[in-house]
Amino acid sequence: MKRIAQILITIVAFLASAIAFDFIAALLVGDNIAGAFLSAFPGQAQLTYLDRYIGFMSSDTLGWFTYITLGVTQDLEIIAGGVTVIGPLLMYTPAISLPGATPQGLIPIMMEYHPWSSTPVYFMPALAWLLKLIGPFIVTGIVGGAVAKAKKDAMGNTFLAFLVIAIAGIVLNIVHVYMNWISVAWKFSATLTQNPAYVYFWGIYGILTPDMLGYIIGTSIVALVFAVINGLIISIISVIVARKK
Amino acid sequence: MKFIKGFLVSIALYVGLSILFQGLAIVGAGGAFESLFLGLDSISRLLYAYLADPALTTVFRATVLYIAAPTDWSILMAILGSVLPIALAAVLGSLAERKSGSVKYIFLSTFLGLMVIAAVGIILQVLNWPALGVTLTTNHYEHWEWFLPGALIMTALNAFVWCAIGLFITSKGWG
Repeated sequence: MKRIAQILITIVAFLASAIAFDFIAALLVGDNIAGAFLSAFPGQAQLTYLDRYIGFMSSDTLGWFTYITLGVTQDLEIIAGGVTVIGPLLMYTPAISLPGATPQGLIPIMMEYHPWSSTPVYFMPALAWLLKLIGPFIVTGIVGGAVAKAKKDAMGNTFLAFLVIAIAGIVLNIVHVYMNWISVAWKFSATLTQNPAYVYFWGIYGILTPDMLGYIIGTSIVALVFAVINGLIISIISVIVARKK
Repeated sequence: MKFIKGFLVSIALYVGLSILFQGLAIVGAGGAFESLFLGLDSISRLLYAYLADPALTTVFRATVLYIAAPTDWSILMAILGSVLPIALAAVLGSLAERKSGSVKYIFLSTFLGLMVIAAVGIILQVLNWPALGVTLTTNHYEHWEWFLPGALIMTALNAFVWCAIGLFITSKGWG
């Protein structure tokens, strides 16, 4: 298979698995209020995650696809920090979090609010979030390794796939913002679930002074940095899968 | 001497740089450098704080804060401290272990070096909590029951990324 075809298959694997894991998350969260942060798609007031998601897809398809492509820029750190239970919700706790402070992360939350605990209501949203976070990455890493001809190709393909998807996401984000700019809050809630680092840029450039250019620059910087780091990490999975080639 | 060299170099560098950056942050805020070594709480933080920190998120947040307040020394130290001690320990540890010529030794010596030092710090911190009066936080789990795995997983993520980068840097010329 030609190199370009390998990269394309890896890209499609990410996009398809990101959508598939969104639906799996929808099934796991349902109408659980604890998962409201996870399903806070803009302009959707329905009760269940699935209705909100499908509503987002149909009413703002470009925004939804931007959200899917920017999925490569998710922050793997929230596995162990930066997420906690605030009131009835599972959500980010933006802080410079020296350990011992509040942020806990998805795995400690799943341990604390396990299905047999006194308050298991947070377990399923945490599991859904974890699957949405690592599921597409692992699938992409495996597919990237499986379709490559050699270890070196596997690594390059996966890394390139991450970079290409992130750049597509950045471009789509720019188009989307210029087509629909109302305020930062309008787009805030969907992409916010992907990476707390967006909060900081939007916080200073967007909400305080609603600034379209600042928003685009902030989002693009975060997206590129995290795409490179995630690409490096996941390319190791591809190398492991392709190690016998 | 395989393994030992990278293991010790990464530990020594991390601890040294951690003392440097945490010391600079304290001195910059008007505190005394010696306070770093007063009490188990601060000593344990020297061992694990930067390693178990969500470094990328911290860097982004601190950068934004620093743009808003460019004279705040402690924020600058938070940015540098989140990255430099662990990055330099992993990369220079990998270079020290390079002569072993083994991917396994290069990666494991630095990765385990960083994990061991963080684990010691985290365990010391947990042991210290009764003296500090830290008790139950939420639900029925005690503080340490989420802190211990959370801090160890975060350390593993950070160490994995930087040690992998160290491995890539040393990979030239392996053939």
